[in-house]
Amino acid sequence: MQDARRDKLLSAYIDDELSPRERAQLEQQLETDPALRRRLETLEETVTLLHELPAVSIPRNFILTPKDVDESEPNRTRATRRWVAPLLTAATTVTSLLFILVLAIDSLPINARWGSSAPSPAMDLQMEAPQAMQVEESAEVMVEKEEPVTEQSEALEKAVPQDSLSSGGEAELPAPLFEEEAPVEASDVEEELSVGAAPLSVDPTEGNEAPAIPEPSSRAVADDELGLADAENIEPPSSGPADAPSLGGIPIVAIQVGLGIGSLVLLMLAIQAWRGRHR
Amino acid sequence: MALTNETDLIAAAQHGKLDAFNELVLSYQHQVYNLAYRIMNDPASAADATQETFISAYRNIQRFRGGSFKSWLMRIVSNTCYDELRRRKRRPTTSFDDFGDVDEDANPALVSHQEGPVDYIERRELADALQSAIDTLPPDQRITLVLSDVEDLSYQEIADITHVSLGTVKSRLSRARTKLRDYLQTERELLPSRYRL
Repeated sequence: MQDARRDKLLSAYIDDELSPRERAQLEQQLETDPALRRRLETLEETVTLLHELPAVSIPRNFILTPKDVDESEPNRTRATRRWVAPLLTAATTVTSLLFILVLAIDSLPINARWGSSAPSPAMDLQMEAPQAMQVEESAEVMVEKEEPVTEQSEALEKAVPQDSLSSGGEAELPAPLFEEEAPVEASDVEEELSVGAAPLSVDPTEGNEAPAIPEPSSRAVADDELGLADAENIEPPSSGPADAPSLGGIPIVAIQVGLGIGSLVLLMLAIQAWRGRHR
Repeated sequence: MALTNETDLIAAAQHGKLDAFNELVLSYQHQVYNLAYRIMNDPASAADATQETFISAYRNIQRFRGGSFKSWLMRIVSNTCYDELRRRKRRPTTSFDDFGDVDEDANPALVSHQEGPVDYIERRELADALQSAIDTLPPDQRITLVLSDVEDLSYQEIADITHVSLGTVKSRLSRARTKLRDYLQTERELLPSRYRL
């Protein structure tokens, strides 16, 4: 390493490329170090020999003919080359950004990824789920409301003489203390909810009239069927292996691999194009 | 060639005038060929590199924005030779030594100095010895050495041609000269007696 540094100084000294301070230091060393002086001399002789290296004669003239240079080519080649490198660079940038975006989307939690995006079968189920759950809740509420009635009925039955019961026929129950609602079935409730009809009004003073339930339209029936089906089949969205995330039907992994490879290929092409441009 | 004349020729070439460009070829072909020969150490390869250089220069003449046209040509031929040397390194070709004695006529003649035959032979031996020494250098050192000590270009011109810093030029040049000196001291019988180090 010491010799290399010394030779570098000697080489620069031959070409007068040293600073005044470096030159003065080296000349001082040359006066006191014969080996260094000999080293400089042989280096100078080598450079001198190279300077005197004779020129060689050319084997032929190198003037160009139109055949050598297709005169229609240069402009096209120039125009093409001018655009290729920046275009490839832009394509590489876009592909790389898409790759990063897909990576980011894939790393998000499933709920955040699919929560407000375009409709999908999974999302449809989710959207239906709240409606079905509302239906269930309403049904439960109605069932709860029925319970006191049921209890009262039992109480009334107990008050009825056994004879009447044992006779097999339906005993005539005394008029209820309050107007009990006609038994409301779940299907009726769902009909009203799906159609968006006026809420059930339970008016004890109206008599044994069933609450006003609008006639179900065909649409309501269809919605009802859908709601029922969905209510029965609602399950929380699963993120198991069977539900691999995808974009437009294409697995995200495949998109990532494709974008990654595409970015690399475009990058290599862009580098080649820039190298060719700078020649 | 007068500067104005060269400038006019370059301008005409940039407008597609092949004849004007060929005037420039006639002016610089010796220098370009010699540089290619010293780098490649092979007449055929040097001729190919020279032809390729001028074709490339004509096709890209629009990119020449002024300055030294010679340096611009030197850059093209250096890059052409460098790429070829790297290509050969990746795919080594059969050495000339495998074909026995090389035909002397295949080697380019030295430019005549109106000297006697003894001197000519001595000069030829010297040139061959130096060329053999240059051939032992790696491409980047070889190109730097030839541009500096054969073509007599400045450090800055070499830095512009080879797209490296001044410090790198100095390093490459000092290493090349040291290696050449060591080789010639080791193989001193290659040099004519009065030139031995």
